Amino acid sequence: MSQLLEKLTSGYRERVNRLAIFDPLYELSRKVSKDQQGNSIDWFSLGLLALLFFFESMLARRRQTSVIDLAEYIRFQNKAGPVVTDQAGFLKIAREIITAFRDASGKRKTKSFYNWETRQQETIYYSLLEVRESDLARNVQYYRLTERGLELIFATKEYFSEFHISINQLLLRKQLEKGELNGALREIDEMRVAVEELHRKIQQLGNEVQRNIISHQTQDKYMKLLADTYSRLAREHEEFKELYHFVLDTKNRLGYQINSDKERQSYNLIILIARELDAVHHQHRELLHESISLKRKALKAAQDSLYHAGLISFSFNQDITSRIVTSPLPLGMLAGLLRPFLGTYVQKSWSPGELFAAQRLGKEETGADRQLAGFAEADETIETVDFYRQQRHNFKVITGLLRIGDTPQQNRGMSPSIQWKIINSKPTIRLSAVIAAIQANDDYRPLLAQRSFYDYWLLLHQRSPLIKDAGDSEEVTRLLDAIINEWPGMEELVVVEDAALLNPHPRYQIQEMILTVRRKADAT
Amino acid sequence: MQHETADIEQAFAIFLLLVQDGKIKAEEERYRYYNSSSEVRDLVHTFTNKADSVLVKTSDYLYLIPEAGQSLFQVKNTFIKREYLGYQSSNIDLYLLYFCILVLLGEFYDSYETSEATRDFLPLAEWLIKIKERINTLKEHGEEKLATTELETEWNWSAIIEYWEALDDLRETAKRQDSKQQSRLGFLKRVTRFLTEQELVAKQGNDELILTEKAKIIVQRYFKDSEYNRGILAFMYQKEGFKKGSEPDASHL
Repeated sequence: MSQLLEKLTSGYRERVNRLAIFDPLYELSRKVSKDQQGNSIDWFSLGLLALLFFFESMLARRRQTSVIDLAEYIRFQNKAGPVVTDQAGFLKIAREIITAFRDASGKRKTKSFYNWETRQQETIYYSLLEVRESDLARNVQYYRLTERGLELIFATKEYFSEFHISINQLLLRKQLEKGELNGALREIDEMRVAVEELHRKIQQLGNEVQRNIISHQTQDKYMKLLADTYSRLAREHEEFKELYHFVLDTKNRLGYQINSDKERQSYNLIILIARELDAVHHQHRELLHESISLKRKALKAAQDSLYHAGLISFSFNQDITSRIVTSPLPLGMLAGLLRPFLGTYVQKSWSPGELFAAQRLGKEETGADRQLAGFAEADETIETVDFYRQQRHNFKVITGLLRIGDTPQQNRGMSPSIQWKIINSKPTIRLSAVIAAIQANDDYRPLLAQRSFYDYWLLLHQRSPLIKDAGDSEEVTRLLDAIINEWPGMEELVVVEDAALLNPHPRYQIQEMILTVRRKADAT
Repeated sequence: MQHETADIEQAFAIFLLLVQDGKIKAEEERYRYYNSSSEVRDLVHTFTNKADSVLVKTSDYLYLIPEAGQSLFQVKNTFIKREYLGYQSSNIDLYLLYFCILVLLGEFYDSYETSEATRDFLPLAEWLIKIKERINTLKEHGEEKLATTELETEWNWSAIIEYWEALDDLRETAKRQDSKQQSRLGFLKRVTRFLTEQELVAKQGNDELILTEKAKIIVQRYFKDSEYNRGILAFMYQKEGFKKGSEPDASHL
């Protein structure tokens, strides 16, 4: 496992800890209840509102914030809806929210989870609200946000992600100063992710600027956003430059004093860091350019929009699709409504001029001519003559073998085994019997290693039934002549294949065949 | 008004390119001509108006967008049928294709509050469900009303509904669901092919569809432009004036 993956689970508890504080808000959002007018209450947003209220009262150094104050604030915010209820109702809402942030039983909120770092079940305890003081006489508690509650507020702050890269840069510097080079590499990786994220954001912004009709307000909004982005990028850019110099300095410093293995390791690491940092910096620099061109785009878009009356509130689904089905509109209108999407019609026609256009020269590769990629075929022309002469000879030999003992007198001085006699006493020969006979005879056994032997049978099978004097003069028939001539008194050869597969030689496999010889005597 | 011959030639070349491709990239020479000379710009606008279209310029592209309504210059029905719906397709297939596309666009732009799309992607199955819902709404009108809304006598909503109802959601016996099959899913795949080739929709795997920049520009710069939008609404509300073979210009304000 790589070093990075190993470190993946480090600080797992801390991360869950940060996520856990969101839970109370989601618990709230699961609540289902209705106000006096029967509208359902959006507990989630009320919960966040309450958090902000407590935060605000901390900022204002108001020491006494009770449930009544919260209820009053919620009532104030809901003067014109959306929640409609009376004072008691608001008080109840306020109380429920406070309960969600701080369990009335006094137990802290818990979050149980499996910790992948320590590999055991762990629990986090927290509460978002605490009692600062209380008025026992009036039985009123005054609340304030706990540290965790403040964390939750900060987590919702927008600038959090905006300072991501700056924070990374700061951390990187600290780590380099302390010599924690491994951590530094990780910091750079995080920066790279942040830069990529920023890149996506800028692209998206660019698309938005282009595809929206820009009204005066949105233009202002975009321009402000772009200005912010630009100043942020410029600031980060400066910091990157400084950081890079710092890294180079560190590198040089380390370079002078390589004495031990450990120092050598650090030196290698710092080289890696310098390289990675440079890469991220480069990406970042490109963002800077992009943001400038984006600014230009936005200005242009605003210019173009001057001619348009501007954005209207429009929902394709409601205004077009629903309208079609609810009315319903005539079918013929569908095409008209889609016309903007379909482009203009371009008549496609063939012009004789095409004949003079650049054409492909050379032979078209059509069916039969096309060479299949794969095996190169042997060049036959050179070998043909020799090959046929050889083959003819081989076939003669094989035929000679088959008709040994055609009649006992024609034995030609060979000494056939008993098997041969059995085979040849019948007009029908099975290929397997022939092979068995050949295998039994030391003189003939090498035949089975020859391709010719199998060619012989294939050819006979292909040309079956083979009738004497079929007469044509191709090479193949001359091969057949070799067979026919060697078989005097033969009128017709019939070869029929059978189901079995024979394996006479490790290199060859052939199907069982039955050869039937019909002699003149049989025919008559 | 007198124009320089060079300007007219330039403008016409730009116009031709727009008609051919629908857009011109910002890096191209013609885009620069359009941008730099107001004479040329005016001429191109005149040409496009005559072709019942409007121009939308972004800093990346110059788009030619045909106006909603009827026009002599619209893509021919036979072309779409032949290229995308198979040789045996009828106008019913074609209208169903249009209907499916409108439902798809509606799914992406379903809010008055934001001008951006409300969806990142649309799964094919979801699209199917939405079409079913719309068809059901149509059915509620009843045969009679559906028949009377039609000015063209040959085709009407009932036929579309009937055609849709007769299709299965998918071919259960088939090993893979493709565009050749006679099923609702098969039909949607054909529509998808059409949309991707028109560069309106892109696939992102897992049968999920996303809108292209081009489609977004058309909705956000054309449909949401108050001036053009008036024209679209006028077209939709002029049922009486909508007759087969009527003047194509009648669809405009």
